Amino acid sequence: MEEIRTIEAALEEFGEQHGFPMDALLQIQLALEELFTNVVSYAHDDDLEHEVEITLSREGETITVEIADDGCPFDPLQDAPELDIESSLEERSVGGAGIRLAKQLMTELRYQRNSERNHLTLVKKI
Amino acid sequence: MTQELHLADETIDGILVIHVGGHIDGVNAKRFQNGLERRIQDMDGPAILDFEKLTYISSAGLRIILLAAKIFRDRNKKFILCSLPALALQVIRTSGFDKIIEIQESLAEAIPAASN
Repeated sequence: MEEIRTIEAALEEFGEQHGFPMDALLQIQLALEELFTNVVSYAHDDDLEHEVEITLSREGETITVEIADDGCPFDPLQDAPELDIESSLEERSVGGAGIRLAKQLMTELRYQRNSERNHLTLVKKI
Repeated sequence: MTQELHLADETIDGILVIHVGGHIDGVNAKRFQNGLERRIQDMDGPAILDFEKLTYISSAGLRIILLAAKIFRDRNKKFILCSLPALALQVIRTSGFDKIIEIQESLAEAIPAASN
C-alpha cells in the first residue's frame, strides 16, 4: 500500500502545476486511494505481481484520472460489496464505504474492460 | 500534502481526550490503530477523539474508529468524535457512521456530552 504515497506525491505535483484548489485535490486523492485499494484487493487476488498505471490529465476545469490494471476483470462500481448503513454498531463494517465515497466525491466514474485490462476513469469538475 | 499522523492525549474531567492530527490512510492506519489501542486499553471511562488537526482520513482509518467504538460499546462507556474537518465529516456521513457513533462539533461540546 506504500504506492498510495507515490500516487499522492504525483497528484500533489500535478495539482500545483495546474493550480488546483486543495479541497478538490484531497477529494481526488481520497477517491483514488479508495479505488486503488479496491483494485489491489479484488482484481489482484493472487500472488502474481501486477502493474497499475495511473494517468492524470486536465482539460479546462475537468480533471481526469485513469487507473488501468492487468488484474482479473473487476468492476468496483458494480462488483464491490454494498455498504451496510442500517445495521447496529456491533454488526457494522466499512466494506463498500470506499466505493460509495468515491462515487459521491467524483463528478463521474466509469469502468471499461479492454485489452485484458481494467480501466477505471474518475472525472472531477472543479 | 501528507502531514504525518500524530496522537496526543490528556484527561479532562475524568474523560480521556485523544487529539488526532495529520493524515490517516491505508499506509499508516495500523499505526493509528496501535496508538489508539495503547491509549484506551488500560482505562475504563469515556473517551473523545478530537480531530481538529486532522487533514485526511480514508475508509482505512474509519475502520479503526469503528473498532474503537465497538470497544466502548462493550464497556458501556461514551465514545465521541469531535471537531471533524469538512471532508472527514463527509467521509463519516457517507459511510453512515454518524448514525452509530456520537459526533460533536467542538471539544467544548463533547466534554459535557461525554460526562452524561
